[in-house]
Formats: sequence, structure tokens, C-alpha cells
Amino acid sequence: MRWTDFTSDIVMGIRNTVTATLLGFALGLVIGVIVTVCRLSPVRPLRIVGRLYTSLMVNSPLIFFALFLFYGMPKLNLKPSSYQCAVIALALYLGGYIAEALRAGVNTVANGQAEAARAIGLTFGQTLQHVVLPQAVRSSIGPMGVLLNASFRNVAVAGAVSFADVVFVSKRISEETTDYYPMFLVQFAVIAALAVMTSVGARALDRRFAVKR
Amino acid sequence: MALLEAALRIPEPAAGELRLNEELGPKGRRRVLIATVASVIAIVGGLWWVYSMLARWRYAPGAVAGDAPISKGQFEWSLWEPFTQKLLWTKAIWPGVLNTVRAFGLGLFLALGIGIVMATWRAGESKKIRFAAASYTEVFRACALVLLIRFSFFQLGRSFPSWNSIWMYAFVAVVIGLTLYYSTVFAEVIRSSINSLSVGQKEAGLAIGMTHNQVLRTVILPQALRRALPNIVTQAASLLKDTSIGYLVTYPELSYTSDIVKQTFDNSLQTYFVFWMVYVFLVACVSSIANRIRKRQDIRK
Repeated sequence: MRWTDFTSDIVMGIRNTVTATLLGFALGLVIGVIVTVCRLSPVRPLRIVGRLYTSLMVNSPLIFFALFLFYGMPKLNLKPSSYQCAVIALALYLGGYIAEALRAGVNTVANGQAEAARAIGLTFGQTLQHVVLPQAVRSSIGPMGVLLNASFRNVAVAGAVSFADVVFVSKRISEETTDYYPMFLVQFAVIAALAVMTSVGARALDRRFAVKR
Repeated sequence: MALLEAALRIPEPAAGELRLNEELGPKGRRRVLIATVASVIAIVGGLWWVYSMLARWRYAPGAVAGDAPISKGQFEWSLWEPFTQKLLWTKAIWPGVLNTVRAFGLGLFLALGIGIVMATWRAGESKKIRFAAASYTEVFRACALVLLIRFSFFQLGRSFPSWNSIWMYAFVAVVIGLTLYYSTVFAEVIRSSINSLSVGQKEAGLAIGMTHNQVLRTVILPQALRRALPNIVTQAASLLKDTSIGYLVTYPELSYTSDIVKQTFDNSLQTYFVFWMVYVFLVACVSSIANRIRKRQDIRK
């Protein structure tokens, strides 16, 4: 058996890597926006929750969430698949990081903008929705591209719960066929290609949408 | 009443932060008060829901009334009891912490060393050396850490078949992986702070007759390193987290230890909770250093 006999498996691995990362990122974006709104809000309990969430997520390793979901949840009669584990773990983890990126973006908005919004009588929610967040998102496209880029590589740690991403699949194939070096090359090529594509894409988006100041 | 006053107070934003809220009028106060009460109720409700999920007794499928439950909830003392034993901490968790810290310490030392060298080379005069440093950085930055560690583990086993402990292979593989990847991260951090220095610094050095290398070593690098320090420490915290990838090559650091502990006592939720707290504590120690440095530098500016 040669490694070339397993191309369909490699393609499946790539598909899993890409879809799980994108799904996790999309969910993480939702979490991140909610957490950011909580952290900025005038309501104190929400601020505390937001701060607690980010500091917990930013200070713990991703692999741990995957392990926790996969081996811990069955105790509560929930049995997430390894794919679901990878997506949820990534979403929770990225939620904290995206919240940090967004908050940095919020701080690039000029004070005058918020003052003007209050002066014309916008409420907190309206100020965020129509004035602050649109600018914050646009100026945090760069950092978010970096996060997405890192996620394509980081999702491979979910291999610990046998999530069949490209790295995990390649390991299996190389053990089966003893074609170790070609498989390492394939993994490297796939990951480098994903990295280049995301950073080029993020740069293009950034150029298109960046707030000109 | 004092509690309510405290809950409704809007904190002064820190320097550089956007001021989104200001002193509230009577209408705003009422609105925020309602939102505060509602959010407290929602948070308490959420916590209660989680608690009841955890505390529920669970029965085997098809159990009839009178059958013993398979679990009496996750707060059953027997599941937590192992963590009150000293032996578990001294013989399992502490060695795990030590292994994590060992890989972190050596990885950080080597990565920082190579990172500084690469950053200086990239700012140097010779085109060839600049190119070499740039390609090193670009290549290893594009690699996944998982991949680097796996590959080193595999290649070490192949090149040095006679080492007598698997710990050694795993440790060296983790350190090599972390070093290669994080040296590029540190190189980029330092390079961007070199670029943020004003050109006048370099020109002044050259004007008083220093060579290009002397200027780099004695003028540029000390300032650049000082400026990069908070970011370096932040990346060090992320290096500490990434030692957990050693799990994949059976390096007995914290995550791997948690695996063994949870298999021994069959209490995965409790084990993960305790280990999670250990991780958060360790990483928070490092990242709080970064925040402190950042604050101090802000004051000096």
C-alpha cells in the first residue's frame, strides 16, 4: 500500500480541518460579540461575567477543552462526537480571543463618536449597534485574520480526541503505509497553503474595509 | 442601598479606552437598575441549571424503580475525595506541573535566544544573512506546532534509537517544536519593535562613528527589547499553554497527567476541573506579569 491510495482520506481530513475551523470561528465570533457587549455594558454583573469569561478562556489551553468535552460530557449523558468536540472547543476558546480583539477595536473608535451618539440621544444598545461596533469590527479584521490563521493549525490538537483532521488522518496513513516523509510533506503543504490563503484573504478584506483615519 | 449604588456606578475608563457610558440620568438609572436585576436573575438561574445538571442522579438505561443509580451526581464526595489526598498532589500533579514548567522554561530560553538572533540578523546589513533569517522565520511560522512536535518525535526516534526513556524523546521533541515555532514568534515581535524605533537612533549611532553592528547591539536592541517586553511575556504565556500539545506525544505534562488521574478514579469532570484551575493559575501568573509591565511602561511614557 502506498500513501497515494489514501488520497480520498486526505481530502476528507482537509475538509474536516477547514469546515470545523470555519464553523468554530463563526460560533466564536457570535460568542465574542456577546462577550464584548457584556464587557462594555453599563450593567455591572454582565461586565463581571464578560471579564471572567475572557480571562478564563485566554488562560487555558485549547486541547483541554477538547478533552473535557469528549471525556467529561459523557458523565452527564451527553456524547458529543469528536467533530462536535473540535468545533465547540474551538468556539469557546476563540470566543475569548475574539472578544479581546474586538475590545481593542472598540478602543480605536474616537471618543467623539460615542459622545456624538449620546448627544443625539442614542441609547447604549443603539450606540453600539450603529456607531461603535461597525467601526470596531472593521478595524479588528487584521487581528481576526491572524486568529483564523492560527485556528487552522490549532484545530489539529483535537486529534487528541481522534478528530479526523488532516494531521490526524496523515498520522494514521503514515502508520499504515510507513510512508512517513511524504505524509509529513503533505501535512506541511496543506497547512502552509491554508495559512497563505487566510493571510492573503484577511489582508484584502482589511484593505477593503479598514476605517480610514 | 450602598450595594445598589455600587452596582450602578459607571467605572472610569482606563487610559486609551473608549468612554461609552457616563453618569446616568434618572431614566437611565431606572433602565440600568432593571437590567442589573434581570441579569442577576439570569446568571443565578444559569448557575442553578448547571448545578442541577451536575447534581442529578443518573440511572442505567432501562432501569426500573428501586434500581441503584449509576451515579449520585457529580458532587458526590467520593468523586472529589482523591483530591484531598496528599499523595495525589505530590506523586501525580506536582510532577506534571514540573514537566510543564521544564518544557516551558527550556523552550522559552531557547526560543527567545534564537528569536533575538533572528531579529538582529533581519535588521543587519548583509543581504544574505537577512534572507536566511527571513526564510527561517517565514517557514517555521507557517508550520503547525502539532506538526513540528510530532515530526521531531518521529525523527528523534529514527535518528537516535538508543535513548533509554520515552520521556527523553517526548521532552526533546516538545522543546524542539516549541523552540522552532516560538523563536519565529519572538523574532517577529522584536522585529516590529525594532521597526517602531525612530531612524534618528540609528543615524545618531552611525554619526558618532559606531559600526552598523555596534549600533544594533548597543543602541537599537536594548530599546527594542524593552519595548517588546510586554508582548514577549504575553507570547510566553501562550508558550506555556502550548506545552499541553506534549499530550499528543505522551509527554507527561499536566494534560497527560490529568488523563491518568481521571482513568484511575473514574471522575473525569472533577479531574478536568481541578487541572483546569491549575492551568489557569499557572498561565495567569505569567500573563499578569505582562499586564504589570505594560502598566508600568504606560506610566513612564
